[in-house]
Amino acid sequence: MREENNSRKEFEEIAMEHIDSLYSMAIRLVFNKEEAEDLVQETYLKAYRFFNTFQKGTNIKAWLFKILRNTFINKYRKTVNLPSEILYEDVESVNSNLSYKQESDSGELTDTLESKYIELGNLMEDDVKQAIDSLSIEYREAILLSDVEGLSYQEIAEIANVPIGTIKSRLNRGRKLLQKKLWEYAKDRGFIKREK
Amino acid sequence: MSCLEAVKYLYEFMDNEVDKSQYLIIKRHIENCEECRQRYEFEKGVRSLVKAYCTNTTVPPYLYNKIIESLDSIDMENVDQPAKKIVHEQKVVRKLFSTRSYAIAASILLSIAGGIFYYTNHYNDNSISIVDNAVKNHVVAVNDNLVFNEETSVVGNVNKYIGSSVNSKPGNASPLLNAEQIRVVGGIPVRLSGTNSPCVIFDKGGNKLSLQIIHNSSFPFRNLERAQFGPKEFYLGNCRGFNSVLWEEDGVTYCLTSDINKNEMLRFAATLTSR
Repeated sequence: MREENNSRKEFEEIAMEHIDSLYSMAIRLVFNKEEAEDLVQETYLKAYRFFNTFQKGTNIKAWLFKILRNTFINKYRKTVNLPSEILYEDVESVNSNLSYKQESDSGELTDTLESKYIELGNLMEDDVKQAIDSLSIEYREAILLSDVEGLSYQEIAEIANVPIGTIKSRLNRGRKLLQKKLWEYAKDRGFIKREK
Repeated sequence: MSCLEAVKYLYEFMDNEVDKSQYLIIKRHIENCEECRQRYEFEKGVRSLVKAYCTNTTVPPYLYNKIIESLDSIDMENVDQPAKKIVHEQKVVRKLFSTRSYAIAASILLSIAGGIFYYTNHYNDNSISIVDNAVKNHVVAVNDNLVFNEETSVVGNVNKYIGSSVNSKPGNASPLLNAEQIRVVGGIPVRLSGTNSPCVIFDKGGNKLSLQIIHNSSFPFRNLERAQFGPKEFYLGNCRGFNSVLWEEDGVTYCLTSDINKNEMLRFAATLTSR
């Protein structure tokens, strides 16, 4: 009984503090508050039931994210058949040969980076969220885990169950797609402002 | 360092994923090259936007409380569980010998672990720890998410495992359950109760059930709840919120595990037994 209370105490101490991070991620996965709440709750229950399999000294946040991800996949594979896996493969193979030069040139012909940077300031919270949500789930998850949660490539690779190289290319590609989207929104905002 | 190279490693540089010597080279380049500095600033700007707008979500307070409450109910489930007792013994031993040399501690731990293993296999009153073991296998096989271990992926050829051991054609399903909804989705070899077993996964409308086999052992059923379903006798166990249905057939004990409702599992288990 005493043993149990100790592990309960430890769980509350080290796992519960990540609830906001898990919730933010859950919302970006399911786009719906109630479902995100369910997902977070389920994640914590599973994590607690299997807390004794958690390897002490490793990053508990990464462990929780892995459980969250798998809970999400198990739950939503029921309703959605194969999220965007096929689409994603297509995009990957078509675009993987584009070099940085080609990609950036097409965008930078008329706008300098500096003007782009300034225009970013016009973006609203909803624009940013919408841009992230428009990415396929593999890109979205890699970007959020890296940029928002600050996890290492190794940890993200373990969460997504793919090699590190795949994470690197997802981040590369995903960040470029995200910037393109943001830049489109920023331009729209800029035009609206100028028209006023 | 050329701009092309700096750009190539820019993300890794910003993510702190390059080694120290390279880090300094890239850093110096960015400081001295106007174009790359702008690129860097731009990247940084985008990231801080993403971070700022994606971290300002906080959970509603009732969710936190709801989770804490459900942890309470898990604690209630787990009281008086023999499996817990074993974990407890191990920890006490570790504490006792913590000041001595690791070698002694390790050898003692090993012999105790061996003892527990023996206990697991040869004592008759530990049905619950077997069910607990089955539940762990189930979760590893279904979710692949509770251990960071590349070997536990759910790939594998199920026919290899399921072949002759079980009635794999649940054709004469009881009328309550549409057996067509069920398909085999994967499996991995696991160890259950000291013996090798396939862990075969079935998918029933998105819910996963796993079947494991305890070879040729007379299973200590007496601590489990008994249930009669049709002509067949089943035993029910519950660990960590998962249900297990066990039954014996030709000297082999089968264990079906899932988080779905007991009665549904019984119905499915009945379709797996031969008539």
